[in-house]
Amino acid sequence: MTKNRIFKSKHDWFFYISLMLLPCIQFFIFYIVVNFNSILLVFQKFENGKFVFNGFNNFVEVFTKSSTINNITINSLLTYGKKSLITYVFQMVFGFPFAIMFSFYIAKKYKGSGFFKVIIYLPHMVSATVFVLMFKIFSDGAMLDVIEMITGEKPFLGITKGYPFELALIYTIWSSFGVNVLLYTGAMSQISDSIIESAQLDGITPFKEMILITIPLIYPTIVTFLVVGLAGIFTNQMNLYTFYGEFANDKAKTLGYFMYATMKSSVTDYSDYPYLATLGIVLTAITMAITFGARAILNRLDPMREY
Amino acid sequence: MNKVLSAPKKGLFKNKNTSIKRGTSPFIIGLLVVFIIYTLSMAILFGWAVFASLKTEDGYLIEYLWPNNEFYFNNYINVFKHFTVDVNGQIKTVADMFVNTILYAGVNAFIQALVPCVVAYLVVRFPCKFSSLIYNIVLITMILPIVGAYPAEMSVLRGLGLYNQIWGTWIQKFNFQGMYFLVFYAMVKSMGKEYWEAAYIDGADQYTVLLKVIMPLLKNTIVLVVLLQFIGFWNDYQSQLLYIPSYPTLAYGIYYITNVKTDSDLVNTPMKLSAAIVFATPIIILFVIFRNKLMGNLTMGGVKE
Repeated sequence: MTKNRIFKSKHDWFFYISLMLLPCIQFFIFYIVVNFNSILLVFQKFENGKFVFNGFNNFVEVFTKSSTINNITINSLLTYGKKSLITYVFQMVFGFPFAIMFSFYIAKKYKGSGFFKVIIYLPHMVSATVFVLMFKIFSDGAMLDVIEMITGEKPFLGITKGYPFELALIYTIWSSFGVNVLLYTGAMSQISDSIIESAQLDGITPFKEMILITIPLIYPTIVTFLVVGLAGIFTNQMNLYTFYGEFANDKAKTLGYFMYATMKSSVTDYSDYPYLATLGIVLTAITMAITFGARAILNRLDPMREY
Repeated sequence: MNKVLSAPKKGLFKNKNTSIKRGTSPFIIGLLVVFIIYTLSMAILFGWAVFASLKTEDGYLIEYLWPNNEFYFNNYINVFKHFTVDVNGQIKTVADMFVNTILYAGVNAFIQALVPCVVAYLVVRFPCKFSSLIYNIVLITMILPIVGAYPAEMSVLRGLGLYNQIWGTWIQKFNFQGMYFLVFYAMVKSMGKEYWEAAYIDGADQYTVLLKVIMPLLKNTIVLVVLLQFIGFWNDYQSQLLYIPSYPTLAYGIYYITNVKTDSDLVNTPMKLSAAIVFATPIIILFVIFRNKLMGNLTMGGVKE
């Protein structure tokens, strides 16, 4: 019996290597080297034009006060972290259930579902810069008139100044349904008609059908989304940079915004790099623990799990 | 009993009577109302923005909410005349930004569609140990949440001379990791080796098989991924701001007039809205034309048409 070889000739080898080489080099540089460099930066500081060994001092700075980035203390980071968590909780409480219900409505092709699918997906297609610009201008102009019409008085500071975090949070949830609905709908469309039909013959209502059949059957997709959402908890900028640029109000900042905005203003200032890299490593460790923990718990809660 | 036997074989939702009954469920009516409110919120925002973009500056300041009696179309002409950004003292026009956008969004969209496609084909076609390593790398990098690699990435880009070079972003995006690798992987795997083996018997070499057999079979998915990536890059200004600050794109231009620009004709609100609408129009047209394709069920098993 002859062995079925994977590479049958030198040409096969040449073909494989010629097309695989560049993507692999890219991966090596932009994943392996970059992340290795992150770890190196954690133990370094920038002094006299070069990076020198700094032991664990960057960790001390992250957990006390930064010596390079003004006014950043552990308390500021905790405040930004709290905002990141609030964002995630609100997305879970409002964004997630509505995404499931919208998806159910669309997957079942109820009245106007095709049109609503387009409307829900629109904010994902049109740039956030465009929507944010409209949202911001509307909130500080027309919305004030509407509020005055209803309550008889205008908010003193306006909306972007008075409620910077709340405005960005509402926008983020309002515009976030598109991709989730698309993928939940995709998962729901895979559910066998026969399961639904037999439940309907037993007189199941649409609400019960969603709770008792649809959600358990798309549970793996839901878990994936919840876990991916958790993995992005500290990188979520909540469009704050698009709303306020470099000058977001301190009470609105999330950790994702802080990391990006600080990096943007420190592009040419190497002295901030070690602090930011250390903060990145600390947040990666926390995120990893949360993500893998949540994944294990959610998998245990799988209603279709067989014991 | 008869009722059960006479039930249609497939899709009870298509049964007219059932559909009417289901449509009157309070839950479904409630959802319909929520949908209508959501649609109205979007229509009001867009409609208001269009009408506000047709006001003069004074007209807008007098009346924020309702449309004016006269429409001022000059805002749209002024967008093309005065929509500029200042990059370290150099003025970049809307034409410069458009070219940068095409070079950034267009080229990167192709790269980010073709590289995962080719690598996925190689992994399926040649199932050696290295190929399974590549497959595992994709899975691991998707699961591992890396936060804040910006400083390290910036040092590497600067070290390699890729920082602030538009072709540097092409190299930066030349990666195979991510969801689309898995989409292409599943598609190639489901094809079966008969496709390429038949071509070899006819005397085709590996490159010919890839270009003339595999790529045409994957054409629909490649086009979809290119479109999705193009829209993503077209709308992205943050990467441009960080990695190629000297090459402003149109998305950056909108960000710039919203948050940075303070001293020009485009500073007034109706003109800002006009610029935003002009910028969004190509994507809305693209979306309307390709909406079914773009909203098709892209799954790990490929595109469900």
